Amino acid sequence: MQGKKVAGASRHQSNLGIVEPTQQTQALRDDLSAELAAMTKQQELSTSLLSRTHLQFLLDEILDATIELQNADFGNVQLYDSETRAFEIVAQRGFKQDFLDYFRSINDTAASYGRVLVESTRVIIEDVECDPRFEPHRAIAAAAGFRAVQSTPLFTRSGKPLGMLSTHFRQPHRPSERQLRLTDLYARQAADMIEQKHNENLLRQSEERFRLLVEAAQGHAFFSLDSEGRVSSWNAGAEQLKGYHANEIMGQHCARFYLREDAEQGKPQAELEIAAREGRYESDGWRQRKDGSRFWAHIVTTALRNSQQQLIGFSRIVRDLTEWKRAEEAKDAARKELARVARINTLGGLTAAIAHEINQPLSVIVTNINACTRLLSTEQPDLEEVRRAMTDIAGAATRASEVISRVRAFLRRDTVTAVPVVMERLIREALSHTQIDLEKHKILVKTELTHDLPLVLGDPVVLQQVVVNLVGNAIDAMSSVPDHSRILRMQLVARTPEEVLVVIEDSGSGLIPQDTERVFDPFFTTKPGGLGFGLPISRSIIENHGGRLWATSNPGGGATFQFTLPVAR
Amino acid sequence: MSETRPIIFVVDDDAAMRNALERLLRTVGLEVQVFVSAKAFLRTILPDVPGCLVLDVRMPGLSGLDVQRELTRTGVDLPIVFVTGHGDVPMSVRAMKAGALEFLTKPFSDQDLLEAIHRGIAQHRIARQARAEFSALRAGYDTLTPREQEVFALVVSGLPNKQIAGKLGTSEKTVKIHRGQVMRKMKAESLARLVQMAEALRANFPKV
Repeated sequence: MQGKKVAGASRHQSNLGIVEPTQQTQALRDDLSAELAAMTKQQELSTSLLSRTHLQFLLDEILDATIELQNADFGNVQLYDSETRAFEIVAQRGFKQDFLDYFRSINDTAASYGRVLVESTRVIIEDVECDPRFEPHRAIAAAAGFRAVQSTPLFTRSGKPLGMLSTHFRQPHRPSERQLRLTDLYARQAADMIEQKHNENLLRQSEERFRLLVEAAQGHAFFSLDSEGRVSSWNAGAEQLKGYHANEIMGQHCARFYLREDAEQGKPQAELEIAAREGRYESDGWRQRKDGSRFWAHIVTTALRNSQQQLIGFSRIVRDLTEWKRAEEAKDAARKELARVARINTLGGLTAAIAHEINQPLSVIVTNINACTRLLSTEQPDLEEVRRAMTDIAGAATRASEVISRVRAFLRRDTVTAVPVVMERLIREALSHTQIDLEKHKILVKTELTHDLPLVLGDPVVLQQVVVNLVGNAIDAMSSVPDHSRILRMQLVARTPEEVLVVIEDSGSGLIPQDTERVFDPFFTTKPGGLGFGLPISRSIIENHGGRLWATSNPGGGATFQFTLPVAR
Repeated sequence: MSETRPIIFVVDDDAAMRNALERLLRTVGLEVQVFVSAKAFLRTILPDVPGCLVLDVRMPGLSGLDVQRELTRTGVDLPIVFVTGHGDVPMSVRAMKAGALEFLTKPFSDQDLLEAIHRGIAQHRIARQARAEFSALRAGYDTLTPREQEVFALVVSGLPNKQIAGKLGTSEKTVKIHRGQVMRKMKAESLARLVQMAEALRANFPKV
């Protein structure tokens, strides 16, 4: 604006001839030098802003520069707290305490100041005595000694209000457009600085929180190792878990956390090598504390590399999973027990029923015999009563033999349910029932199940029980051989057009030749805790379906159980 | 009372077993009553004699344990010997906890059964006698007038007549008369006996 006036004057002067170029040049030079000074100041300001870290200092600098730029008498910087919706004077020049106190208490809806933010534009009150917008604050303005106010909003780059930069004048006044334009630049600068400072604070707080989190993490040891495996940092969780204080463990090799036998086998170094090679290595294993006690640890080792990809060390997170492992083991034992119980359950119920049925007549027999003995030992035995007792004994004995026949008939029940059965599906289902056990024992299952075989007629529930039982036996038989050689081969083929054949071949301890038939005898068992009923019952089930079940010993070790079933017609 | 002939009650749904038990028990001179079911037994009004109950655990309808519960509920203190065809541990524990005398697994030896039965009869006799004595005490106590009952309570608490008179606001002479009546009606030959009676009464009848 001023520049234009000068230009206008020059043009006017130009009509006068000779002076024109010189005057115009002079005015332009003044103009430019003022601009240059302001720019230089701003440049200085920004470098100084960048070099300082203290926000207060930055704000004071900006305020001073603005006051100087506008030739103002006072000035302040207010920050806006979006949560409390209140302004806070964070920098000021030339105000007395009572003014500061007054403005501390105003909120964004009360004053014209608030409008700066609400309307996102600069507010200029050229004369507080005339401008109705300033009416509520006239008294305090008079007391503070200013007549004119200029407020420029401060925004983040994303447009969030930060506060404002205000200047105050003793006399009614309006800053020039140039001054205001430069003020905008200062305001931008100030806003950037405030925002940057704010972000730095957030970052620092976040880092602090993370540091506290890491240090305080319960049950988690966080520590780092140098590239040789020596401890280079140690958190409180590590101290808690392993028992070493940072002072005594820094610089020590991580091998001391391993059990002696593991350390001697070179496990500590081997694990670091894997982590170095693959970037990250996760493992579970026993570790020991300072006091020598053991815990089951889950360990994540991550290789740390610098920007040149050189290995500079490792970070390690260790968790104590002893309780978890115990719970897992207990769960596993419970599952095993459940499976065992399930396998003998039918049988258990059966024996209980048989016992009850048989004990009843046996009890009648014993009681009658006892009565007879007593009767016969009296002086005049009641022989008629003895005879009746004998009849009862014979009746009870007959009853007992009838119970046996009933049980046999029950076991032999020819076709309880006879429905078409897809053997392939039945075998797959049986495998899925035993999957947990198979995985647990690290058994490799190889299936060769022929598709679209003819259907078999039978009771799918009991047939599946036979397969589950045979797989269970195979698992048991393989528990004594090393993990890597445990292979279960399941085969389903058409043996003849009239018969399907199921083969269950294990790589377990095998059978001696004379046992291949004996395993089907009731009460024959090689397992501790086994009842020895699984195979004879399986055989009777298969035979009731018109098939055969037999066992052979494999030449290369292990046993093969196979059964045939006639196809449905 | 001990001259009353005891009766053994046998409840078993199996006729052959019932007959065998009846035969055995009669042979050793015991009187036996047999029942074909728990229901039939519970319906019967039991004679007022010492006895013992031989009860099969597993029966169609009400089980042996149901009978035990029902007897407990109705205050019948007949000792119970359980017999079962199948040794079921949890069931036997439950029965024994509920006060069963014995739990025998079939086939059982006759000695075990007879020993348990005799033990049951003896136990029932003692219980019955205690009950009879208490009834007599109770009957005697009930013949006392309210004033005599008051004097009774104060006498057995150890107070001399003079203090009892003071408490009741009457003369020592009157108390002496009441006291004589109490001793006579309760058939107590001494103060010590009267105190014993008071204790026996209090154990089952806290008002005294």
